[in-house]
Amino acid sequence: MKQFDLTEFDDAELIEEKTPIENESLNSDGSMTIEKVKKPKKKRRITRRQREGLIAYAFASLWLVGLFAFTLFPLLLSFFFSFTDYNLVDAPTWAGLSNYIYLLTQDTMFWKSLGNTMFQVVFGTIFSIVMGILVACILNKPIKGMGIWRTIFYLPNVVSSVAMALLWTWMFNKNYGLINEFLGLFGIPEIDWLGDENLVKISLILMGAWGSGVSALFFLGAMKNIPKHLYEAADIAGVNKTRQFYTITLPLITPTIFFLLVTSIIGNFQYFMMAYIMVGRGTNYSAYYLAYYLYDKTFSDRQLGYASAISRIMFIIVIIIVGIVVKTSKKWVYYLGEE
Amino acid sequence: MKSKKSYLFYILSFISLTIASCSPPLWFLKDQGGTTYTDRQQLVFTHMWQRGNADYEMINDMIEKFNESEIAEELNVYVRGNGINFWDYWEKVNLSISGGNAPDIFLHAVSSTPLRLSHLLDLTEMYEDDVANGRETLDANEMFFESQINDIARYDENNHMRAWPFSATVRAVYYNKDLFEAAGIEELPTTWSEMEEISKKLTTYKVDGDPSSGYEIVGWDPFMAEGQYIHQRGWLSGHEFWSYDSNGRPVPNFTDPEFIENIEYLVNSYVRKDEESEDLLEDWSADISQRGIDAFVSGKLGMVVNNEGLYLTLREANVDFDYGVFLLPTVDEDTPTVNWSSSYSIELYNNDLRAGLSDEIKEQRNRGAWEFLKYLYSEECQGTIYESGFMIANTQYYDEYVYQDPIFTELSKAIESTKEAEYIEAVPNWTSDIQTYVNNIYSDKMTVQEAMESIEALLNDKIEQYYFSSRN
Repeated sequence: MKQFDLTEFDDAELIEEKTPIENESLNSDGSMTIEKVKKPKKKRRITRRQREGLIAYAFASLWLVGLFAFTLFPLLLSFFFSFTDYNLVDAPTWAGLSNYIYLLTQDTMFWKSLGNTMFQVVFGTIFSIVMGILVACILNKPIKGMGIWRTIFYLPNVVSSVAMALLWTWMFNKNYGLINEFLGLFGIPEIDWLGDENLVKISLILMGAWGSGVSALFFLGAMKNIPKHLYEAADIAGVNKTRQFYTITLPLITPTIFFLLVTSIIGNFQYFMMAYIMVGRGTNYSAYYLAYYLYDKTFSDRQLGYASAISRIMFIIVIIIVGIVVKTSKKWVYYLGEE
Repeated sequence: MKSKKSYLFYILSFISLTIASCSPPLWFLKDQGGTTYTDRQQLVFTHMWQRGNADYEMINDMIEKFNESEIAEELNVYVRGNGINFWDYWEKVNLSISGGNAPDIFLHAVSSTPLRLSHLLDLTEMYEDDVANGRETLDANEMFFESQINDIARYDENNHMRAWPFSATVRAVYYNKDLFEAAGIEELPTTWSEMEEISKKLTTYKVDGDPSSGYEIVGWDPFMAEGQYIHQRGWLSGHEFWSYDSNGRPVPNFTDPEFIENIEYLVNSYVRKDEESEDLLEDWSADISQRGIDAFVSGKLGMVVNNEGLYLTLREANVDFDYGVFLLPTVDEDTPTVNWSSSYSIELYNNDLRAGLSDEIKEQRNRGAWEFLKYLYSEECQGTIYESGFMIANTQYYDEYVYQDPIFTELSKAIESTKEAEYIEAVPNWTSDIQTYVNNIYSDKMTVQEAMESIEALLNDKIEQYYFSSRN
């Protein structure tokens, strides 16, 4: 306890009142006794906002566990394996950068498969978006029974991919395929759609038209969101339908185009199943995509380290391309209401 | 209090879900191998008789009999069968091995295996241990054909066996006796020139002008059925595809002039009457395959190369024509015959490598697996396996089973000349890798020379890539 002579401060004004940390008591002789008071323990309360946050995390925790266990952890492990020789049986041995060096400087099959994949990415993406817009334009017409047509256009997407691949293998069959049978009615000779190395990739892209229902659905939704008064104003101004499409519809569905462009690029980089089932590697490896090459390196050649290096390179390429698309999107993507 | 209860609920739900998803349901275990013996060491036998397969129950019963046997009880082990579809088999087995969850007993193929010999149980040691301890045992040298032991047994540096032959797959020429008789062919060919002679007698033609009636007989088509396996064709002509350089690296040899000449001969020896017949034949082949009918089973094909699987198909189809088999012809009388085997081996995983087990348990599991292996080669099991369509490998029971059937008897003559495709670590699936270019020959997109040069370049690239890293 401290003792102070406070008689000189009798006229002092209280300028600040604080929560007392000391108990002061005036003694009879004019001195003051100051006693330190223990701070009361603050009772921690979870706010409502914090509680809601915790509940949200609890709900998301299962998904997060899945993300870490089945996506992030394998991603990191794969990154590690890319610097090793690993045959799936023996423990991996450190190989440094040798996988990457060989891959980028000497592996001709990597560049061939990358070329096939880039063909798929560029033309497959453009084709799927164009087809989606075309189909959406058709489905956007105010025709009676349009609901049934929309269902019909979407139905191919509920068919199993493997069943679809087998079906199209027969459709493209050189001798008995429906496509050649139809073309034969016009005197067009048989085309080896899947056997000709110059045609196989185009055939696989054309097959994608059958599955354009999904992208058409996205575009249809976007078109429905365009305010009708814009078209009415254009009609009044005497703008024809084609010009209306280019000046109103197309700009206002660019957000959807952007979304589908990114997802389509990523999806086409991973193109594998259809080629694997329908054509194998193709004549002279013309349908040998990067994902297929990765698959062969893992399960056929049993070189998981090398395959991991391929997947890392693939990842970097995808990131770069998507990054360019995102970066340039500011110039061509218009959001309604944005100046 | 209410919010605490909610948190508790979420946490308990999460834990329950996690535990439930990690535990295999008991009904699944039972379906795969019968009763569960929770107090015994479980051994997993991975095989290709999948649930839904006609012989699945038969194999399960066979496994169950072992589990009820005295030896299983004495060793306190039980076997759980794990049937995997053929098309997924190799990937699933290899992945389970790489995941540290190798089955104890499993069918395998020499050309498909990534396993080091040290991963496999030393079967010679197990045999010697039986002999030393006066236990009933089986001597592999007395059970199998020498050719099969040489190809499949997988010897280690001490010349100890690490695998046993499980089946005997051989290729032969199936021929339609009725059509041969109609064509006036009396003697079966043994050389390629004789083959060409008789195939000239087997010509294609349209019956009654109606293409749907099929074609009577077809010549020697090297690319029908098994013909596309170029390595088999190469061996028939005495060619070897692999050699090793001074560093021990494999060197592919696909451009040997004599080999190319032989393959060109086979390609060109396909006898076609004229272009119209060729088109009609192609149409017919596509038509029946589209309808799921095997060309030879249809009764319209004079002869075809295939393995014992075709015989099973013919029996099930109960065909109404007479057929037989003869051995693959050779280039000439001096060239020995060679037969691509692709037989399965059976291997036991070395439990000494399993982590987290005591030495006693490891010993128990190894002995259990070894006893089950011996059981699989008993007369009863060999009979069951024979009934399911495999040509058994244990020659001690050939009199009871194989030699009772004339077709199998003929096929068994080919076993002495069997050869497995070499396992090349740098290109483990070389026989599949080369098929793309072989198909190009078949579809006239490449000449034989071009295809073989491309194959060699492809394999050399793969080998170079394999050895580029610090591995060697």
